[in-house]
Amino acid sequence: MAKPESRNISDSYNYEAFSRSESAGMSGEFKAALRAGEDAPDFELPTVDGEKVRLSAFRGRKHLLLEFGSIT
Amino acid sequence: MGEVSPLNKLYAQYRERGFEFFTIYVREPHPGENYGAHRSWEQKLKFARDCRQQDGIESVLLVDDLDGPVHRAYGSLPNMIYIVDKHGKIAYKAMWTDHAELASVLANLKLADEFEAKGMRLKPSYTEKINYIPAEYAGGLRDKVFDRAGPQAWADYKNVFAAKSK
Repeated sequence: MAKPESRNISDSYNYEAFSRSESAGMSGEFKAALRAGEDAPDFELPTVDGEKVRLSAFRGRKHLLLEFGSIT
Repeated sequence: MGEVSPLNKLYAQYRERGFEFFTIYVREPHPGENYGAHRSWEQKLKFARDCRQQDGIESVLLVDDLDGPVHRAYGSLPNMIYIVDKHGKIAYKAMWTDHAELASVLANLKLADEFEAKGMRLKPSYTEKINYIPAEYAGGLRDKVFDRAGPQAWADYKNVFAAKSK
C-alpha cells in the first residue's frame, strides 16, 4: 500500500486508487455521452509505434471498431 | 498466447473487407503496485506496449493523451466498445464486449455495403438493448487484471465492495 503522501490526489483522471466514487456513476456518463446514429467525435492519436491516426481519415472508406482498454 | 482471442478472430475476418479495428489504451482503472496511475507519457507508452504483449492485441493500438480526452469524449468507461460506420456515425456502443453481438453488427455493415453496391437504398433501423452479464467479471478476467496490477488493486476493490454491501 502506498503511503498517503505519495498519492497525488490532484490528478483526478489518472487516480491513484480505485474508490467508491470511481465505481459509481460512470455508466450514466457513458449512456449520456453519445448515441447510435450520431457522429463519432473525431480525434487524432498516435499508435504505440508513433504513427498518427485520424478517425475522419477513414470516412467514406472503412467501418471502424474502437475498443478501449488497459492492463488493470 | 496459445489461442486466438475472439476479437482477433473477428479482426482477421474483417480487416481486408472494408474494416479497421483499433484498441485505444486509456488510464489504468485499478492501479496497483505493478501498474499504477500514469504519471508521464513515456510511462503510458511503456504500459501500452506491455498491454499489447500481455493481451496479444493485434488491432492497431492507439494511446490516448495523458489526461484522457478521447476516453472522456466517448464516456470514460474502462472496457467500452464502439463500432463507427464508414459515414462516421456511431453504429454500435456497449459498456462491455459481447463478441456474438459485435459479429452481428459487423456482418450487418458488410451486408449493407453489398446492398449499396447493388444500388439498393438503405435506411437506419434504431435499436436499444440491455444485456445481463455476471456482476463478477466472467472468465477470470477480474482476477487476471488485479493480479497484474498488484495487491493494492485487490484491496481498493474490496473496500468499495464492502462499502456497497452495507
